[in-house]
Amino acid sequence: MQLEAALKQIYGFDEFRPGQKEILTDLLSGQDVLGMLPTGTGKTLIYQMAAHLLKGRALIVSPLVSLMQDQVDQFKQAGFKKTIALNSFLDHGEKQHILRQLDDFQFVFVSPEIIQSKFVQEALISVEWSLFVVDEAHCISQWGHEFRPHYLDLALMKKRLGEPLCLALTATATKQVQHDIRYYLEMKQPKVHIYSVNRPNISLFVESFSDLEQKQDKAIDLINRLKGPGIVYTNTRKAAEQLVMILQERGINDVAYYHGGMDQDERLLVQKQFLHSQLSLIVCTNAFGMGINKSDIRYVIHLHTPSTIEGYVQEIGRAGRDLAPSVAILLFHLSDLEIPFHFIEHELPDETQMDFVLYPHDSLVHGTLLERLQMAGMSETGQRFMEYHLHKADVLYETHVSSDTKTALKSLLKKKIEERKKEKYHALRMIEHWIKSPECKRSALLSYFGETLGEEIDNCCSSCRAEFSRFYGKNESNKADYVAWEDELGRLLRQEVEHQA
Amino acid sequence: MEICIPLVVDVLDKINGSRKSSGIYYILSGKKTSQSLSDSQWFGIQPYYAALKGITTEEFNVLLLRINSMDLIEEQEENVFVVTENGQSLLLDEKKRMGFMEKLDGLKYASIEQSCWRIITLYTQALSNALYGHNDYSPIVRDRNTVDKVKSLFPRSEQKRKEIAQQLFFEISFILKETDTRSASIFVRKLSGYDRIGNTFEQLAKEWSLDKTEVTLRFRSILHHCLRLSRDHSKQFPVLHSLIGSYTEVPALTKSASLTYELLTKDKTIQEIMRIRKLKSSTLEDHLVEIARAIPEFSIYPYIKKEDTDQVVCFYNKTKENKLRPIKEAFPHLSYLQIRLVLAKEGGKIATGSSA
Repeated sequence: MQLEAALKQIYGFDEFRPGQKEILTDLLSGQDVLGMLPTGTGKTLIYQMAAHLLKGRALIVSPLVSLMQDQVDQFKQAGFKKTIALNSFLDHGEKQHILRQLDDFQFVFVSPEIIQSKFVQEALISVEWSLFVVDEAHCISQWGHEFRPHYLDLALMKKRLGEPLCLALTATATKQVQHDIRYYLEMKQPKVHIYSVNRPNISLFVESFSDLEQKQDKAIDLINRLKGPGIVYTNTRKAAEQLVMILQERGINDVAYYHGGMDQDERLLVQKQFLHSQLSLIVCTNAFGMGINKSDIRYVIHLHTPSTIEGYVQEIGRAGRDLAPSVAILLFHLSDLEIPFHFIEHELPDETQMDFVLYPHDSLVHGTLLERLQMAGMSETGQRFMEYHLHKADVLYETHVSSDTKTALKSLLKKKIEERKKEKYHALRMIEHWIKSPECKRSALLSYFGETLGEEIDNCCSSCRAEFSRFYGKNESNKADYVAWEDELGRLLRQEVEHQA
Repeated sequence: MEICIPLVVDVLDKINGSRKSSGIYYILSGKKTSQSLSDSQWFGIQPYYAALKGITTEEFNVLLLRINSMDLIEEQEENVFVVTENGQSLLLDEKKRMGFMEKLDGLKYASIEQSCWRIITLYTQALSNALYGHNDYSPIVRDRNTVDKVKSLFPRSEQKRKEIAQQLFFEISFILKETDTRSASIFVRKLSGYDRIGNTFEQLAKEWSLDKTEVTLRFRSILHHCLRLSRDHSKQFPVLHSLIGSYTEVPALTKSASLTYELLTKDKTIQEIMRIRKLKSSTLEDHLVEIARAIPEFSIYPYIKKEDTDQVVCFYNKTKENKLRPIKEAFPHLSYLQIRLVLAKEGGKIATGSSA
């Protein structure tokens, strides 16, 4: 009962969502918790309330550096003003400033990479922590879809912080991944709360096309008919921009694209316009869809398939957070797989890039391995991968490494890379299989995560012959009527504007 | 026709074959080199400095080729373009349309415009929401310096907020009434506040059927005008001045040059400054030129005689010579630094005088 009262007092809600109260209760009684809750069911609320009720400080490890600031904003908006993010976007001065004042903060978000720094570690150790939260905990597993090597060191960090309570959260973890989370985080007899990844209010549709033009026409037709707000995912920035252009040519105006290549200020405007329902559709790449936290999204269309089932589940999970009926539609063409294939092949460092770091050219011979790594022109993931392994081998900050070590390192790296590639190809084959299979889409998704579908669901999926049409509806026309600037400025600043007759 | 076409033609017209296209690229893209800074002033194209911010060399070269193929310019020698008769008549035709750029001053404001705009727009958003009693809005600027600044300036009492809103409305309206409707609307549409998030340049371009560069330039022209008025008439624009005065009041110097200037104001000699700051003489000379350009109170006469200055100015007026070397040849007893100081100090005046 007390928990409900606190919920009401802090958020004004009457009821918890499934899992929230159970996990909170265990945390408050001093138990570590591994929680798997479907996307959009309010994981944040759990650690906000836990830290609040424990009257303590929480360290939150999150891999989504580009989203951290969004999260900080959301915390502040929810009234938790003493929130800060520590990540690579800060310059040295800002970092120092924050670290000196750590005592003043209640919630500190960190990236797994930044806590490798001794300087940051020392500062973190100097204050007391009640809660150690690992968000997106599936990143700790090689079998997870977003493996982040630095997550493997979190257990050590947890020890150095004096073993605060540990809460590991994820939305998508197979049995194998759940095991890895408990093992690598060295959780002490954690309470495990696994909730189904099933989101019964989201109908699942998959449609395959042999003709690209037909697929595009279908997408446009759907966008015209479906009730928004909606998100369309594409697998490249260019595809996102092109689709928006086509839609605008056809008179759909309250739409914008959103991706990492945009000017930062402009990108933020688009994001806020969507949150504020000035736009009814946003077209984005998977990397940048995550900042969008909006509860009334009615549809998610995939113009191309994601490269893993976990990724797909996360992306469609942005729909229907208000629990109202919503729809996820994946439009598939065989050529969708080309981009992920290319990505898997080129994401991790190749031989030339490895040699660039390990066997430097004359002019680079004086730099440290880290400096050379930053110049090797690798993808972000590739860089993180190399950085982790070089750090492990204690050579990251060296300028010179013995040739034996180099040979050993190189063969280790190559082996690791081959393993990663294999896992990724496997994941891609899994989603391709899921797309092509005639089985019930929902049952098949659940069985991938080791669950079975208990209940029958209305409008389940395309295999169960659900209908699109119930998701059709008119979008309220955007109030784009011309307003004279004097009136608009007057409205913004709440002034009476005199009109000449 | 996209605005960048008459804009580039105008720049080429004013430079009149004295610079290669790479030098012009540096000016228009807003590269901070002592050459591009002094060129902007020398040729009277300060407004256009950084006008095409973000453009790549390739894009710029493609643009030049396009303008060339329209017979508006021709290649006089390799990479040197001059305006054709067609180009001249285009400039006449487009004169009215380009009028809004009179308020643009890239040279002065390109380095501070983003910081200033962020403060203005976040402050307006916060104020607007507060006026409607709406406290949990989502801020459209995240940059910590901006957020801290707006927080520190934000009026605490409701009464004060109302007063400030009225005054800010007056200040912005006053500035916008002096301009054309399109530019004014674009500026207001960029603002965010209660129940509305500002538009992106791309959205405004679509709405007004203009190209994105023109929308950006119209917006920046007004922003620059705000910066100018709030500095020059701080009493009439107290709210804007309180928001951005700390940016507009310090001269737009590079960090290093402003340190040099600080030492100069403490009566240190050039030699002493070079020693204290461990600078090469060429770097220090660049600083002096930068300071001469940016700070009206800075006198160049400790470094060159008044008569020599007058003679250089006179030589310029006769020959319209824009290159350093011929001037140096005409005045062998002067150093390059001395000539550059005259150009930096007098460049704007000369150029304005000659175009009038």
